Amino acid sequence: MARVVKTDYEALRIQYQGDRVQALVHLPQSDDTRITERAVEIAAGLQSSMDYVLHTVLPESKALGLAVGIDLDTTLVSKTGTRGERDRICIGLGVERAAHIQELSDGTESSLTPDCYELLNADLQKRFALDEVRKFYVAKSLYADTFGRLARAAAYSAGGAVAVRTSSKTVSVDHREGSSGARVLPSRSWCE
Amino acid sequence: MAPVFFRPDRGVSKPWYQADGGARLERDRAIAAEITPTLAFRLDESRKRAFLEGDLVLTECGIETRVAVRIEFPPDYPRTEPIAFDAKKHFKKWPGKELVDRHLFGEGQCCLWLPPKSRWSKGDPDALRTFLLEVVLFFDRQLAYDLTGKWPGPAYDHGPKGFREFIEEEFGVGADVARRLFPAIVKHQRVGRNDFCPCGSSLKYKRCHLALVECIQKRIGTNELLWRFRRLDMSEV
Repeated sequence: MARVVKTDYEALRIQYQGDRVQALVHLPQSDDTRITERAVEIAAGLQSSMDYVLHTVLPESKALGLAVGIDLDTTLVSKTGTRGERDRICIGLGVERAAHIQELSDGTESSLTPDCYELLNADLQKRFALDEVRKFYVAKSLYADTFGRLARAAAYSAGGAVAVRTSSKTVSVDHREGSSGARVLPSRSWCE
Repeated sequence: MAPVFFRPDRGVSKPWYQADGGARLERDRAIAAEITPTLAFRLDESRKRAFLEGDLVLTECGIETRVAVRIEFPPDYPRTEPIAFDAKKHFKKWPGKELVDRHLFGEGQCCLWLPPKSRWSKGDPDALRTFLLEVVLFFDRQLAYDLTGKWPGPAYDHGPKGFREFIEEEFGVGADVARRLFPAIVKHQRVGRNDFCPCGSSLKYKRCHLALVECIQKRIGTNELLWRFRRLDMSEV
């Protein structure tokens, strides 16, 4: 999980708390929407690793689920401990709130506070539903493919060509410049 | 009953996949293996029909989504293009919208393009490659639609309005004139050469829009127009 946070999404892994990993997204400064969407993307990445990687390579882990809590706030980040054995720490009300909604969430749920929900773009908001009892927004089945598909939806709407790449059993589509595969300009659709 | 594409009966005696000693079928098998390796040809000898079917496995960030796909080859293939289907109706109506908004019919039939803008080229031995790539993009766009409820990318309006939109853009006809000429274009209204032009110009038809209407009919295909719009209520246009 720490690898997903650090390597895939270039966020900070602050510390492990038992089986919990505390991650921090902090850049760009003051760009609250981008920070929040990045945190949601990390949540999707963590859920994907759990459901599509861990459950595949360790079938006995299928009973386990991952709950994610997200909040946005100003925090203090530091290191504490004796020299050579210092732990990173992150202190703030947002940390408490994120931990709290994570504890109230079921495995497979990614949850965020109403303030964070308001910062998301309309398409991402559609992935979340307000839980009236728990008073926060919850997404189920939020995986990393969501973000690739949303980016491609924007590319389709912009009218650019995409690349279709086929492997032995799967087909993938990539809208990014320089991606390999057969370049195709999508047709203008119609229906009877 | 949901509409199906126009399929003229051209009196085909031998199924297309045997007509040339099976060469076309072999070529198409190779193309399918290259673009959609999980789809396989099935020949129905009793009905002399061919199908390309199986699970299309679309992957994103290593996460696979399987969509059961069936592609039906018409009896006069390759003169007429195949039809793709969402075979197990994987894609549903978005709440508050219609299935056609995602370019699907009730039976899962996929509308890839407006017929006069079809990329199918009957003389191209690699036509199936173009078709299958479009099918892949079609289902990829369906997966994006599942997230947004909006069709990703450009689209013509539904039904005859899409044809009218095409006529306006391709032939530079204004919206109002296109609407007035449409009944004549689809042969709903018979207009004599010496009658007034339906565009309302007070000129004789032959001196006004007759040539343009014939040009449009030639481009779209008269049979296609007659078949599609034979029972059309012109108020829908």
